[in-house]
Amino acid sequence: MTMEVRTILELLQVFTAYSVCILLFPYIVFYHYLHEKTLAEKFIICIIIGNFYIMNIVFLMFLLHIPSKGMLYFLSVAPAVFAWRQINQPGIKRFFTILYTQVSRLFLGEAKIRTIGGILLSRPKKVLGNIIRGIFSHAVHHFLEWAILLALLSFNVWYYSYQPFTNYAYGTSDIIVHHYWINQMSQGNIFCAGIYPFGFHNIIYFLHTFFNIPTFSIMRVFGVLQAIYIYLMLYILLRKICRSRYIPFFGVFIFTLPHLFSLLANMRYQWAIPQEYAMLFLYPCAYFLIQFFERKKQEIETEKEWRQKKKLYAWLEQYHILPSTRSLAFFAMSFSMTLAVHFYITIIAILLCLAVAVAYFPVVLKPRYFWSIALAGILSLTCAVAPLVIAYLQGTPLEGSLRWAISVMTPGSSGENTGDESVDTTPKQNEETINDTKVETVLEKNPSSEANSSEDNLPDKNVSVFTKIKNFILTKGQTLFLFAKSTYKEIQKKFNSINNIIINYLRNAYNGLELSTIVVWLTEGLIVFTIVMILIRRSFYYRNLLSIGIYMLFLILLACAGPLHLPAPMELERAIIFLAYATPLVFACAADAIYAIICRPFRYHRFTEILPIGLTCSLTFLTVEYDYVKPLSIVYALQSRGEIICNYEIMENYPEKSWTIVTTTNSIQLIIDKGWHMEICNFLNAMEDYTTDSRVTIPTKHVFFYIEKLPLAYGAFAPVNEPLANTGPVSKENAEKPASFSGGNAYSITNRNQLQSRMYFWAQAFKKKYPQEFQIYYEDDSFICYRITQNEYNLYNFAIDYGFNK
Amino acid sequence: MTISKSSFIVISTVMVTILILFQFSNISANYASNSMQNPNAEPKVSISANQTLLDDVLEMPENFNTAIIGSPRNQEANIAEEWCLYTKRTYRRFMNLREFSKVYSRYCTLLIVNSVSVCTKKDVEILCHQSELGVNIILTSLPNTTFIRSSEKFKKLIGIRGVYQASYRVSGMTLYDGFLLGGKTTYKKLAKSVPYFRLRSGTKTYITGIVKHQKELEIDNEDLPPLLWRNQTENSFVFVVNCDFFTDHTGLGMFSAMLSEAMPYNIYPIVNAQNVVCQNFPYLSNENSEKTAEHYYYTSKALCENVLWPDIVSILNATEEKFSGMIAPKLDYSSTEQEISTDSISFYFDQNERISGELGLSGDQIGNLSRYEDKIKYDTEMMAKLTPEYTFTVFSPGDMPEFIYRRYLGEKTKTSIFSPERHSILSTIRTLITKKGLDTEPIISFYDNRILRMTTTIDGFSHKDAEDLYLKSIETALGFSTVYLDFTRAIYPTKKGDDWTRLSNNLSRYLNTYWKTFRKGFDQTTVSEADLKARRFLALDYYSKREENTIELSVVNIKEDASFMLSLNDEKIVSVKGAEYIEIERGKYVLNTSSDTVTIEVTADAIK
Repeated sequence: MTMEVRTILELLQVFTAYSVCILLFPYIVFYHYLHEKTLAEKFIICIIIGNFYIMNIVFLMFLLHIPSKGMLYFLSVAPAVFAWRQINQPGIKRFFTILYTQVSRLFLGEAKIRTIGGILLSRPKKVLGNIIRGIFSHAVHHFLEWAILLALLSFNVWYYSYQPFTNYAYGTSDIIVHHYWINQMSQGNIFCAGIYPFGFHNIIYFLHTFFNIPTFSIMRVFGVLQAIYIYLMLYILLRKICRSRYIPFFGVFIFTLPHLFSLLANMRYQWAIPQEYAMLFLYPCAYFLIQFFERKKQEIETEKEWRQKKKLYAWLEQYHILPSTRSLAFFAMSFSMTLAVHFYITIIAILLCLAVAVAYFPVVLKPRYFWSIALAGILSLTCAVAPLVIAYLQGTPLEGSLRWAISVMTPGSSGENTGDESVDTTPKQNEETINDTKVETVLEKNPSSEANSSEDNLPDKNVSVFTKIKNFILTKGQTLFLFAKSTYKEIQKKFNSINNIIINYLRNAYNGLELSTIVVWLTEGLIVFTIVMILIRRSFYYRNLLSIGIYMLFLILLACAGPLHLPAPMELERAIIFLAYATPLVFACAADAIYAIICRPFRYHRFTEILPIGLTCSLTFLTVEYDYVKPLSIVYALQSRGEIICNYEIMENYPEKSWTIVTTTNSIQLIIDKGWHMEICNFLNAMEDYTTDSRVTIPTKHVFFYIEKLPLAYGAFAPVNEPLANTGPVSKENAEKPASFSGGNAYSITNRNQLQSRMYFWAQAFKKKYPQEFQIYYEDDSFICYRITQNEYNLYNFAIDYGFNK
Repeated sequence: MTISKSSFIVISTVMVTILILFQFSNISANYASNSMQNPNAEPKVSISANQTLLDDVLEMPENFNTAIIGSPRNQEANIAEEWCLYTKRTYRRFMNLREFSKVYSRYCTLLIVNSVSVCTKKDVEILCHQSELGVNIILTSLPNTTFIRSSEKFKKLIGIRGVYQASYRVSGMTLYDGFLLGGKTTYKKLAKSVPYFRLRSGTKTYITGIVKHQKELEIDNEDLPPLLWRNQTENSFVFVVNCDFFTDHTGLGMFSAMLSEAMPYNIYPIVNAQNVVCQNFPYLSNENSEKTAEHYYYTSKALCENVLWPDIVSILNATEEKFSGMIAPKLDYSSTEQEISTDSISFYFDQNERISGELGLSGDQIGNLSRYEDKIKYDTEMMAKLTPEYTFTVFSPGDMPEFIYRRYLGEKTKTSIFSPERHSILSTIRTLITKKGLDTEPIISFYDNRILRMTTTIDGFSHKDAEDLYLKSIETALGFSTVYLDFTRAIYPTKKGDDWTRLSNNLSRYLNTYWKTFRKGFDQTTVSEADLKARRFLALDYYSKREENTIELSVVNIKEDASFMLSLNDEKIVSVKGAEYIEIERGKYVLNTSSDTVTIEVTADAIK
C-alpha cells in the first residue's frame, strides 16, 4: 500500500471516528432537543457536547485511577445511553410498548412475523425516509451554499493535507512531545510531564483507545481535520452575526485563498497541536454569548407580556431549562474547553467575551444578565480547572511550559520569550517615534504657555469691572479654546502615532504594510460606524458587529502590547495566529454592514444576495488571475520520508515486539507500542575504541538500521513542496571527524552528519561480514534501511571494526 | 395407530434398499479384490544403476567444483563424497592439502577439509590462500588446540578470539533454526567433550553446546561453546565444525545447510519420500502364544489381528503415513508345529489392499544363523503355495547376514534351473531395506545394477537426541526417512519396554511430533514408491542459474517428475512455472517438478 493511499485511508478513518463521536452520537442522544434546530446550531451544539463529554470522561477515568479500555467503553457508552433514554423517553417507551404488543400478538397467533416486522420497522423506515428526504430537500434548497462551502473546504483539505501526503512525517517537533504524553496515557499515566491542559490529549487518547486507531495515524492527519472544523466555526459564527447568507462565505474565503497573512499565521493549522485544536472552541464562546443576549432579551419581553396577562405559569411550564440558560451552558462548556485544551486560547476567549460585553454595555450590567454570565464563567472555570487541581492535590507537579506561561502572564516577571531579531527591531523604532511625538507635543505646548504667562504679567490698571470680567472671560475662553485645541491635536497626534506604530508593527502579521493599514483602519471604522449605528438604532445586530470590531481591536493591542508598553501575555508569533483568524470576521462584518445599509430598502430580498456572491466570486477570480493565492506552508526537517514508510511497513508486517529499529530519537514514540528502539548514538558509542572483545547485541529477532544518506538538517524548515533540508551526503571525511554521542545536540546539523556517516560505513562493513543476512529493506535517494534477522538465542555481535572506530 | 398397506410397502422397500446398499459395497469390494497380486511388481524396473549419475561420472580429475581432502579410509571424506553424489557436484579427492594446492580448478568453489589434513603452517597458508581466492571452506573437524593456539592465522581464518578451554564437557547442544530442517531444537542429553572457543564478531553460530549451571557461571548465550559456526573472511566463508558430526551421516544434511548459508540461493535434488517399514508384520503364524497370552491375554495371531493391526492402522491414518509391511510368515523355524494360517493371509492381504499399503518380506527369524537358509526355503515354498500370484519386490533382511541373502537376490540366470536360488522368493526383489547400522553404508545406493538399497533412518519406537539430529540431517539432505518398526519386540516381549501399549504409545507420540514439519513438505510413500523416487533422484542431473529475481532450473537425464529443495536467504517465492512448491519452513521450499524446465520468481522481503 502506498503512503498516499494509506494517508487517504487514515484521513477517512480518523474523520469518520471523530465525527461519529462528536457529531453523530450527541445528535442521537439529544435528538429530542436538537431535531427542530437549524443545521448550524445542531452542528455547533453537537461539537461542544461531544468534545466536552469525551474530555471529561477521560479526565474522570484517569483521576479515579481506573484507566482501561473496558472502563473507557463503559464510561463513554453507559451515561450516553442513560441520557438518551431519559431525553428520548416518550419515543423509546412507545417503541417498547409496540414491541410488547406485537410480540404478544405473535404468541397469541393473531399476526405473523412478517406483519409484526413491518409494524416494528415502520417507524425506523419513516425516520430514515425523513432523513433522506430532508438531506435531499436541504441540498436542493441550499445547493449554492453547499457548493461554495465544499469548494472552500476542499481547497483547505488539499492545502493542509499536503504535508502528510508528501512528507509523511510530523511537521513540527511539538507533536512528538504530545505523542509521548498520549502514549503515556495508554500506559495509564496522565500528566506524565506534570500538570498541563490535557483536553486535546484526551480526545486523541479516546480515538486511539476506543477505535483502536494507532496514535501515530491520528496525529499525522488530525491537523487537517481540526483545520476543517476551525474553518466551519468561522463560518457558523459569521452566519450568526451577518444579515447576508453569503457574506460568511466571503469571510471563509478571506481566510482560505488569498495570500493575506504571514506564514506564521497559517502554518500551524496543518499540525495536530493543542493550541490550534482549542481554537475550535473559541468562536462558539462568542456564538453562545451572543445567542444568550438575544434569547434573554426575548425571554424578558415575553415574560413581561405573559406576566401582564397573568399567565406566567403557562409560559414557564413549557421549559425545563430556559433557552437562554441553555445558551449560557453551551457558552460555559466552550469556555471551559478552551481552558482544558490550551491556556492561550482562554486569554483570547476572555478578550472575545470582554469585547461582546463592551458591545452589550450597559445591557450586560443588568443583574439578570450579569449574574448569569458571571455564574457561567465561574462554573466553566471550575469545570476546566478541577481536574488540574485534583491532579495537583494528588501530588502531580506543574508542567514546565505551564509554569513559564503563568510567569509570562504575571506582571513584572521576566519569563517573556520574545521573537526573533527582525521582530525586535520594530518596537525600538516605534519607541523612538513615541519619544519624538512627546517632544513635539511639549514644543507645541510651550507657545501657549508663554502667551499665558505674558498675559498674566500685564499691569492691572484703568480697567472697569465689566472690562475686567469681559477680559477675564475672553482670556479664559481663549485659554480654554487653546487648551481644547491643543488637547485635540495632541489626541489626534497620539492616535496617529499609535496607529502608525500598530500598522508598522503588524506588517509582520500581514502580507505587507498596505494590508495592515487596511485592517487597522477597517477595524477602527467598523467600531466607529457601529457605535454610531447603535446610537441611532439600538439593534443587537450592530452590537454584534461592534463586538467583532472591539475583539479585533483587543487582538491588535495584544499583538502590539510590547511597543505600546502594555502588559504582554503572549508573544507576537502566537498573537498573529489569532489576529489572522479574527481578520476574516472584521472583513465579513464590514461587508455585511455595507450590505445591511445598501440592501435595507430591498428588505434583504434573496435577489440582493447577488452582491456578496458576486463579491466572493470576483475576488476569487482576481486572486487566481493575479496569482495571489497563498503559498504552500513550510515543514520542519524531523524525519525522512523513508523512515516513516519503514515504520509503517515494519509495524504492519512484523510481529509485535519482535523487532528493533536503530535510528535517531524521533521514531521512538511512533513505534513504542509495537517494537523497540535503539539510539544511533548509543549503538555507535558502544563499539567506539573497538577491540575483539567489544560487543553490541540487540535482543530481538529482527533488527532494522535506519541510515540517512543525506542527513537531515534537523529542525530547519523548508517549503512543504521542496525536499527536506539536509546537510549534504554522508562522507568518509565526516565519518573520520570525532562525533559526540550524547547531549541535546547529538543529532544537530554537523554531528548528525558525522553520526550518519559512521552508521553508513558501519553498514557497509557489516554487509561484507553478513552478505546473505544483512539485506536492504528499503532505499531511496536520501535514506536506506537495512534489515537483519537473527537468532534470538545466539545474537549477532554488531560491534565490528568499520574503519572509523579505533 | 394403523399402517396402511402402501406405507408398509414403502417402508419395506426402503429398508431392503438400504440393506442392499450397505452390503453391496462390501460384496463388490471382495469381488473386485486384487489383494493377492502385487501392483508394484509391474512395470519392471525403469532406472537401473548404469543409468544413474554415480562416482564414475561425478568424480573429475579437473574442472571439479568441490575438493575433498582425505584418504579413502577417512570417514569424513567419504561422507563428503556421498553428499557430492547426491547433490550432483563434480568433485575430486586429494590425499592432503599440498596435493590439492598443486592442482588448479577454476570451477572449484568448495573445499572440504578435516582435522587430519591441517597439521602444518603450510596447510594453514594453503587454506588462507584458497579463502582469499574465494573458495568456501568446510572444516569437518578441527586440529588439536595446541596447534590452534600456536597459529594466529588459523585462529583468524576460523574466526576465534582464543581457546578458552582445550576440553570442555557440554551437557547437550542447541541446534538453531534456519540451518537444518525442523527448527530450533535443544538436545539436553547429547553430552560431548569439545574444545571451548570464544568467537570473534562477524561469525554466525548454528550449533552451540549447553553448559550446566549457565546462569550461575554467568555465561551469555553468545559465549556458549560453539560447535558449528561460520566465519566470513575477506572473500569467502569458512564453516567450522567443532564436534564429531561427520563421523556418520549426521553430517550429510549439514553440508547442504552450510552451502545454503554460503549462497544467496541453493537448489539441490531430494528423494522426497517418507516411509514407515513394519518389520515382521504382518506376522502369519501363531507361535509364542503362551507367552503372549500371559502378557497380553491374547494368542499371537489374535494379538496381531485384533490389537496390533487396528492400532498400527489408526496411528498411520492419524499421521497420514503409508503402510509398508514386511511379512514374517514365521519367526521360529525350529519347530513346525505352528503352520501359517490361510485366514491370516487373506485377512492381511485384503486389509492391506484397503489401506493402499504394501507388503514385502522380512528376513528375520529368532533361531541361529543356520536357520536363515531354512527360512528362505520355507517362505518360498509356503508363499508359493498360499499366495501364488503375489510377487514380492521388497525385502527387508533385518538381522539376516548379507552373505546369506545375497545368493538368492535377483534373477539368477547363470545358475541351474533346478537350483533353489533361481526359484527363491527373493529372486523378484528389487528393493532392499537394510537396517541402519554400518556408518559407511550409503543411505541410498544400488546393491547391484537392478536392486536399490535404502537404509532405515530411525527406529520408530525410540527417539533419542542423537537420532533426532541424524533424522533432521538426512531430511535436510535428502527429504527422506524410513522409520523402522520391529514387531518382534511386541510378539516376543523380553522386557517391560517391549509391551505393545508402551511401544504404540511411543510410536504415535514420535510420529505426531517429530515428523510434523517433514510431513508438511514431503510425500508419504510406500517402499516401492520411495524406490521409484530414489532411482529418479540418483539418475537426474540439473543446472540452475539466476538472473535478478528469476531462478531457472533445468532437469536432465530423466523424463519423470523430480523433487528439489530450494533454500533462499531472506527471500520468498512469488511464482513457479513447471513445478509445484511447498514452503516447508521460512525460506525452505520443496519443488515437485512437472517439466524439465522450471522458472522460479523470487522476491526479497523488502519494500518496493
